[in-house]
Amino acid sequence: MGYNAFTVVASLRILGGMSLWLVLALPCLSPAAHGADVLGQKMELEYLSDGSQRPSLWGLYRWHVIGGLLVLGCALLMVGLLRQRTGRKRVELSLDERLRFETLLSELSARLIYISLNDLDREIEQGLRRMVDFLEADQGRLLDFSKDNPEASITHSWTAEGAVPPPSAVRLDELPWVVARLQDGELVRFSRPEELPEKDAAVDRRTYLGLGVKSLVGVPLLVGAKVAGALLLTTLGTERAWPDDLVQRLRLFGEVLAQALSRRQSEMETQQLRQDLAHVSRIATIGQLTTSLAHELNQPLTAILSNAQAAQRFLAADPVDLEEVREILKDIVDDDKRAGEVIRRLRNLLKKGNPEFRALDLNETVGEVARLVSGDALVRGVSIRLALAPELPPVRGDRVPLQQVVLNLVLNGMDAMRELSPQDRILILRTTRESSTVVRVAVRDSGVGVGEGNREDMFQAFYTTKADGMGMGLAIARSIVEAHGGRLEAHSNADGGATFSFTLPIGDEGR
Amino acid sequence: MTGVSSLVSIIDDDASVRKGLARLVKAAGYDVETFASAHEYLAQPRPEDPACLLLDVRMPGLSGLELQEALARTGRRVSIVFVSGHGDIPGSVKAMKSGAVDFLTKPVDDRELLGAIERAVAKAAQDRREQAVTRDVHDRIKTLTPREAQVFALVVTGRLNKQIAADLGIGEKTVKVHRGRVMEKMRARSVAELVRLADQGGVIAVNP
Repeated sequence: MGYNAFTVVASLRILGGMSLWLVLALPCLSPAAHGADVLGQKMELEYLSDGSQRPSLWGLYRWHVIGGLLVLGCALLMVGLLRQRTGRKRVELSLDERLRFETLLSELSARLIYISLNDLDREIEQGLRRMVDFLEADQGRLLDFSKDNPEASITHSWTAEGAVPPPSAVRLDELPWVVARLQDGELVRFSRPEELPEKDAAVDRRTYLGLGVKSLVGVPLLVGAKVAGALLLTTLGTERAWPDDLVQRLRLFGEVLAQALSRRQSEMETQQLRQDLAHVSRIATIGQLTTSLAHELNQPLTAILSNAQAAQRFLAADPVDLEEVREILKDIVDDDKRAGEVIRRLRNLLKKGNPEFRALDLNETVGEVARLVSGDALVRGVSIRLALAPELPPVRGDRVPLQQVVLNLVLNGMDAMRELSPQDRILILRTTRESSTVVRVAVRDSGVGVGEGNREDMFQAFYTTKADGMGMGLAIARSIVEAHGGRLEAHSNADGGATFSFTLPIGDEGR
Repeated sequence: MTGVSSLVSIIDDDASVRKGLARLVKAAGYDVETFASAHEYLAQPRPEDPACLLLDVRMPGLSGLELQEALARTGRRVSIVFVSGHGDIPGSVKAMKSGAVDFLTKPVDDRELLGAIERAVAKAAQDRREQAVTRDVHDRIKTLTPREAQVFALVVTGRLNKQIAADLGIGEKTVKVHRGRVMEKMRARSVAELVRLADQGGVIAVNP
């Protein structure tokens, strides 16, 4: 603005100066009797019909005319310059704005690309906030068209500070016309709800009027060739126009968001597949335990049946030994609980749920696996020993998949000792605190050990040395451990056998 | 149920199963002793074997089948009823071939279990009777002179006096005398009875 004022003042000064000069010069330029003008030029004389002479009109006023034209020309020049200058100023301003927008855009896209999936939602919301602020809108929203539930389709929303958000969340079926446009990949904008077509968009109009939305611009988000969602910006208090260049920018932002959403979708699909695979392999693993589980369940069931039938006999006797019967009933209850415990452990391991990351006592996790395989170990003639570190700090993790990892390593270890004589089949489960931030779970067998060559290969999918193996166990185990921020590795023991171990970071609670 | 209560030994590594089975068997009127492992059972000195051994197949250390083998090696005939956690067919075949009374699957119903125990106890009594007879026959055989024993072995294979005389290189009359003494000492009234006693005493016919 200062620049602009300066230009105007300077131009006025120049013009003013020139006019002053002309005013001063005018008397000198007035017609003179001696027949010569101020510049000493001989004036052109006009001969009249009576023979007298007088200066012609041109002679008399030519300098006025020339001067006037000069001033006019200067003035035009000034105005032209001025106009040019203000025009350039506007171009420069929007360049600056565009630069800011592009910085914002590249910043957002960089963040959205590198951020982890867990933080993506928060980052998208931040992006929305910055876009709302930048474009001075009141509310920004992201719609997801892939969801079947019309109420759950607003995935992200940001309302500018000070703006009063609509009282209720909008449902997609309340905006049939707008949603249909967007789903066709078209842009939607209005500066007043009344601009919406009266007949076709009657429902939408009513909705927006009801919500207090004054103006809106909606950009479809394309993932591949499909419209995955839409970006909506609205003003709530005031009506507002959404010019083309602004919409253009919004489209760019929409593309960045669409990329992020498509990344999220594919990563979620991958994650889901990984979980499914882990679940399937878990079921397969547990399938190997059926014999031992039958044994585990049979023991308490046997005890319960014998006790109950013994009680029936005691009750038939005369006199009834109530003390004995009371004791029997207590034992039945205990054994029943024990059977329930076996089933609970099994069900926990079989259940398919969303990952639940929470503080986890690894000793308990490992101990539970040891109990689960105790029957199997008995059948296979393996003795399992626990060497659990006292006061092991909790880790942050999902119990079920981590138990799956331990279970897998234990079963592998028992398999590796198949050829040994029973007294040599010893499996040691050990937990240790490795450093101030890391704990380690190790499964040590006395089996055949691992060859130098297979040490990495065996973590690959479909790698197996067993006739009936799927070759997925270790690959899945490694991916589970890595998803927990740990590492799974194997090495041969100096005195024979192999140790498979994994590290896990200590959770915040344990530091 | 006989008036005298028989002893049933229960071996199972699971404490609560042991307790439950023991209660049930005791409620049926038997004397019961329990062991947590086969080793524990073997370590216990016993003047007489139990009437029935209720044995878990799958145990840490010595398994039920291994204990059966070990007992057979020592020549003790114990009536064994196996209880197994699951239908282990090869195991059950092996157990039955080795003379087990029954092979039951856990959880086991009381009638099934007590029926098997009853049969085992009966078998043990039968065994004991047979063993007593055998011991008696052995005692009688011990009174025979070496020559009489030779004649006894040849008579029960069905050889005639003449043949025996030729076999042993002695006179037919001498054979007749020996034979008469054998019949007397063995308290047999006929050759057929003598053959039965030889069978019970485990006398193997010797061919010279």
